[in-house]
Amino acid sequence: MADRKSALAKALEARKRTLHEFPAEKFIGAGGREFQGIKVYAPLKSDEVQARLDADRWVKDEYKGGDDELRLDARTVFLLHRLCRDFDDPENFPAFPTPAWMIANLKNDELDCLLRCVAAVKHAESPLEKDLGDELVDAFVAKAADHYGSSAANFVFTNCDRSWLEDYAIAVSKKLHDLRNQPEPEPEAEPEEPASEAT
Amino acid sequence: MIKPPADITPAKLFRLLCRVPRPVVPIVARFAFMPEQALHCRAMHPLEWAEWEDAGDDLETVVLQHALCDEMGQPLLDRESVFLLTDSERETVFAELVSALNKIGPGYQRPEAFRCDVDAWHTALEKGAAANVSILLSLGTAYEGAADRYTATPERYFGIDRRELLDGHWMAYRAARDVIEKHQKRRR
Repeated sequence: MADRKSALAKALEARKRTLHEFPAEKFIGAGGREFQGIKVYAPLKSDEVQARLDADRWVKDEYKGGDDELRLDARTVFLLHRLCRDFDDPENFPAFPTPAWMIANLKNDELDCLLRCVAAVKHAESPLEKDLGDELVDAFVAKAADHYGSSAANFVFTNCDRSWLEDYAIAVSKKLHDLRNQPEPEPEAEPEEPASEAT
Repeated sequence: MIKPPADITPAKLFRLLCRVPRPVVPIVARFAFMPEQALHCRAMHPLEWAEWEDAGDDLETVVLQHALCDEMGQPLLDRESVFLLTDSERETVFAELVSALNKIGPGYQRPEAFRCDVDAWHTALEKGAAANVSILLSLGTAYEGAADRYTATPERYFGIDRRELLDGHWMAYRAARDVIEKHQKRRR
């Protein structure tokens, strides 16, 4: 089965995941261990699926089923546990001992901070063009207009993050404003007829 | 509801849907870990769409697994490989695939966000069929029995197994049949 994989699938399996480094001196780890920093992976689909399965199982065991909100919260922490890695040996150890430890010991703002790190990693690894040139704005305008009225229009912006969309909206507003305030072209003056000679 | 693409003429759209084994079009996105690999999108079979419900996978996984292909229409990623893509890679390529699928892969039954305006597609494909006379004559006459009580046999025209026919093939066939029937009625 393995030899039937495409070259792309093989390259994907062989690729080394990039670790992104963030300062995290204020975090206190298990046993009062101080953090030098934290390393974070970009989330793969497999991370999400595994975190979801583990979190649902954990909620079921610990809270006799739990509710949807509890499951969603737990999934986020389980995903963070997979993505946040130990500073010195990131490939072998997570930054925090277990997801249950994170739930018991980390404050909400600390979890928020880790989530922001993951968002920054996703942004950094996004294949989307980050510089908003005139050409790119026009391309997105044309693409959205092409699909106007169908649900496909929504997919045009699927992979754009919030800050990019803000910049895009500003760029489009500026274009629209300039277009509306363009001075009307002056009508061409008709050539004067030569004055008829008085007879 | 997905309407027929405005940027493709009915004549070209009809020819596109008649491609066998499936229509394939290039997409712009590239993966940074293998930028030399050109990515393409192929129309999906109804049973592949159904995996979304049957296997309980999310739509992104199903589309990436079945629609992403090379220029020969060979799928590039199996289910396990799709799970190794990052969020942003998945989202970018998925968006491109959806955009392409809305042009080359219309269907009778689709998940809510992909539902097609079947009547609008039929109207466009009738125009397309009428503009491709030689295909129309072969495809529109692929049936057995009397003209008013016939068994459709589009697989004879397409040269593939009947169960491999895509919804797009059936749509092109029905449009061709209707054009022929209308023409015959006018002559009577």
